[in-house]
Amino acid sequence: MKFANLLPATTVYAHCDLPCGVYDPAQARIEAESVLAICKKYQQYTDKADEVFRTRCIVIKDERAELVKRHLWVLWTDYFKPEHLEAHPQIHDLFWRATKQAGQAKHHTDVETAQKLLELIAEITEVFNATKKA
Amino acid sequence: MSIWPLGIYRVAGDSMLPTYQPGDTLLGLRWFTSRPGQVVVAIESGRPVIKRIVSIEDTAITLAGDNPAASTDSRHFGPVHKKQLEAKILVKI
Repeated sequence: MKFANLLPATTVYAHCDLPCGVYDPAQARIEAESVLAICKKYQQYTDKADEVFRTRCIVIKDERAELVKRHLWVLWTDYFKPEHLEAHPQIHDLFWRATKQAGQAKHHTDVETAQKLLELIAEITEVFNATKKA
Repeated sequence: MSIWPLGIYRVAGDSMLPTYQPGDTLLGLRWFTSRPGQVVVAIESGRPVIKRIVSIEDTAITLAGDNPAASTDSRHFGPVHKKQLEAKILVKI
């Protein structure tokens, strides 16, 4: 065992282990903006010499799109409550389409698919903001 | 501000990977001037968190984990006030 491990120390948290109650569709939007920006770069660098770059684009885009799904699922399942559904009956359909679109963003590299994902997240943001005002 | 300039901290969680791993013991300096890029201990919602300073605007400090996928940081809780900073990390011991 290292000597340092025996020293009395203050624990500093490098994670979130509390149900902190902080929700914001901005998390999904930022990741979706990354997806869009990566798609644009992917379309821009078409030279064979950029093959490695283009491969990295796809890997990172897929990671970001997966994070979009993750953030949307957290919002959908943890934030939205039955009373929100009563006021906004489109919530289930909207999240279903948005998470499906995030899946599409993994399958494709075109800008339009990524843009559509951002538009759906914008719709979710509108509903989210409305629930915050209510 | 503590009268002791140095503090010993132990990391819990993955958000500072690959820089710091869970269980790492760190030496922190409590008397310091904050600068972007520093790894700091900040008191957020009453508990000490370890993050990196991304930017400073006046007294508002934006923090982020080095491993964003496992980090709750200023993207979630917003910028912290300069007074919430407790120490900057000097070295792993």
